[in-house]
Order: sequence, then structure tokens, then C-alpha cells
Amino acid sequence: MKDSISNTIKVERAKKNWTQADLAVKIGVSRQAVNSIETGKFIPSTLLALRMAKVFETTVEQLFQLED
Amino acid sequence: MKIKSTLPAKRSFVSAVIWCISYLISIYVVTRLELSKTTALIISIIPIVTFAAFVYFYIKGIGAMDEVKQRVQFEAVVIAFSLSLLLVMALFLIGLAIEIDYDYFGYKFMVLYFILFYYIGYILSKKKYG
Repeated sequence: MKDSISNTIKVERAKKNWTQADLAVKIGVSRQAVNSIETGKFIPSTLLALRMAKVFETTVEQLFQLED
Repeated sequence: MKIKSTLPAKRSFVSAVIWCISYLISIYVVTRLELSKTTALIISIIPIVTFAAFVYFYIKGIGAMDEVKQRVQFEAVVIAFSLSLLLVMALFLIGLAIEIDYDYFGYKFMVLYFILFYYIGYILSKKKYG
């Protein structure tokens, strides 16, 4: 079974008025990495997902959802 | 959060350049100059040492990358390794049936083919992850 994952990173970024580069600096990755994750091309590790949730002051479950 | 340093990547690039230069110089010196067997053997080992250093810095460099870049590198290496195995296997099998022109498919060109395969893998993987 292959699940796909959607995310609300773009929405959360917009709420904070952050660019991809801003988020990249905050979580310690490249801007390209943020773009890959945001567009769903790459699924981040648990560590990176937790870092993202922390900087957005939300939970991983709210940032990433399994798609049916 | 601190962004990972680009120093390991620079080190692996510099070590790759050093390996390339030592490889080319070694080929030139061993094939063009008249040397004793011992000297020729020692000179031909130098690129092996510089390549080992490159592999060390490359692995260190991968460790310092973010996870998307690591994935790109891993996929590039997997594709390069698979294509290299395919080439060696194909040359061996074709060589059993017909005579291969080793001026184009000898050991000296294998390195170039393997590097080419790495870049094919790199481009494909980079495209995949944007």
C-alpha cells in the first residue's frame, strides 16, 4: 500500500509571512529542500517534521496528513 | 537553527579535482616517460590514494548535507552503480561473442563512463526532487 502525504506548510508559511528561504534557515536545510517538501516531492524525516512543527508552533499531524 | 556548513562539500570537490589531476598526470608520466617498473608502479598508485581521499571527503560531505540533497546523492550513486554494472556485464557478454574495440571500451575509458553515469543519475534525481 502506497500512501501519499499532503501538507499545509505553504499555509503555515503564509500565516507567519515567511519565505521558503526564511523557513529553510529556521529548520537548518536548503531552500530547495523546503521547496521539495512543500510540493510533496520529498517526505521529510521525523526529525525535520518535528522541527517544522516546532517553528510553526503546531503539531506534525496538522502539518502533514495522509491522503486517502 | 544553524544551516549546515558547505565546507565538507567544498572539501569533497577539491579532493575530486586533486584526484582528476593526479590521475591525468599519472597516465601521462607512466605512458610517456621511460621509468623503471618500480617508479611507474609507485606513480600509478598515487591516483588510488587521492581517490581514496576523495571517497572519504565525499562520504563526509554527504553526511553534512540536508536530507533532500542526501537523497539526490544516494539516487545518483545507485543509478551510476547500476549503469556501470550494466556496462561491464554487457561488454563482457558482447566480448564473448564478438571482438570489442578496446580503444573505446578499455579500462582507461571506464572511469569516464562511470563519471558520466554519476552525472546522468545526478541530473535525473535532481529533476525528481526539484
